[in-house]
Amino acid sequence: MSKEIEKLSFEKAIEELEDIVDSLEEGGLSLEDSLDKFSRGIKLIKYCNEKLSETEKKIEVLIKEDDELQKIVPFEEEFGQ
Amino acid sequence: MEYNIDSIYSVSQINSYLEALFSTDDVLQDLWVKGEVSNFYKANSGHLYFTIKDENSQLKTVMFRSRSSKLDFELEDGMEIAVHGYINVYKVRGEYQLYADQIIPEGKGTLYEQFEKLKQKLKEEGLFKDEHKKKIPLIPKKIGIVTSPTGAAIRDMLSVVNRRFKNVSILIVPSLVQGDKAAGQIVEGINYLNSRDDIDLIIVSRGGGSIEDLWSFNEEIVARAIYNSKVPVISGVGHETDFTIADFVADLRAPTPSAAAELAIANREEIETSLDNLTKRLLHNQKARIKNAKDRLNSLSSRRLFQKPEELFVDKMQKLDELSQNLKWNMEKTLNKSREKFNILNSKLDTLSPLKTIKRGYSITYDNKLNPITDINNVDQGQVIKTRVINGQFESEVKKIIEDGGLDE
Repeated sequence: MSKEIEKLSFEKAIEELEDIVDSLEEGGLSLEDSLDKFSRGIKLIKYCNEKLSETEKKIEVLIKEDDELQKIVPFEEEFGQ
Repeated sequence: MEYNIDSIYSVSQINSYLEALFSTDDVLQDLWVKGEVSNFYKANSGHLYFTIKDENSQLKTVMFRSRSSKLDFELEDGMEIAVHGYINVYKVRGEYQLYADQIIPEGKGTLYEQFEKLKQKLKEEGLFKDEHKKKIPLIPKKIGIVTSPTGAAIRDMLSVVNRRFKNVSILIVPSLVQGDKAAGQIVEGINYLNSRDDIDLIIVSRGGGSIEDLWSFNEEIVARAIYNSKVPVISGVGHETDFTIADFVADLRAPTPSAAAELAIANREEIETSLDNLTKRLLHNQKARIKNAKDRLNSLSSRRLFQKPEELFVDKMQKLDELSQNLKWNMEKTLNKSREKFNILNSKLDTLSPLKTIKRGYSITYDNKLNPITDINNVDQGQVIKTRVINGQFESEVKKIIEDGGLDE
């Protein structure tokens, strides 16, 4: 279960986080186990947030000058109103 | 029938009446007619005029430039065609005619028939099966969009993105989205995006239009390119009521271009919300758990036991005291008993002691092995014996043995 977080896909990380929260809410864990799970959960949240903010907003368009040549430019530059 | 000046109609009135009548007829407003082209004439305005006929009858037809400019073949006399449109009255001449919006050279079948045929074929091949649908990534990093860079679709999609979202990267791959070359360009666009390694979601899209306008999205090569795409594809073509082959084969069908953009990024918003919720739940749960543990600890430590821990031992100490007391008593009792017994034995021993007897004048005689001699038969004549008296002993030799009942000297 405790796969290295960095190796998880975002989807898997969210899934594991859900499981952790579910099992904590269900109760029945020892305080020690629950603390372990809690700290794993916090790490997963941090990781997911990092993944979410990884991408930046960029809108670009591919311009073909002929069959060979192509370039990518900001969309606004080429087609902006 | 009587002539009545008040009930006479003008020609215009009658033609208008007929026009209204035609307009309310469902069959006449949306129909396909097939026949052979004759009297074809293309006006300078770009409008097409012709008649379609069969052996017995003919029908005047007009196709205005707005429609005829989209025909991808040249119409000519003698051609067998199927024409779609509506029939109404041309009031100037008092003639009814077919106002065509679509023409298919016969043999090809109607677009609808082509659509159904291809749909059936691809369905049988399994291209629409759910098991082939790829999952749309929760947080696409870079979305590739194949569409016209100048169309309504891209404007709609970008406005969704601008309105709702901050962190999403988009690469637009321009493509014709109608006409002969469109399908090829759409396929190229999909393949190009697949050749990059940074695209994790593709949208193919165009705005609303007639079935011909959307036709490139019904072409087999487009369907196959979508099916073969490694990257998940969302289709957003036309309006909600338009279904194209691309929609069936896409991993996710969006009813419109804006909906496609929403679907592509809504996941992300949802995820952000659900991550927030999970975070709150986790923190809340842990707080509650720790508080609970603390409360338990508090209530435990306020118990009497921890307040007066000696109480835990008092009973046992008392018991121990009792036990040791008992032990002492028992020991004493046993000792006393023994002492008494000893005294009795001692005095018994005293009375039984031979020393006292010897003191009174008796003596005891041993053989050389220090066994007391108590039987005359154990003595031999000439034997050396020892005799003990109160204050010493002496040795003597047996001179004569006299058994009781014998001669006493």
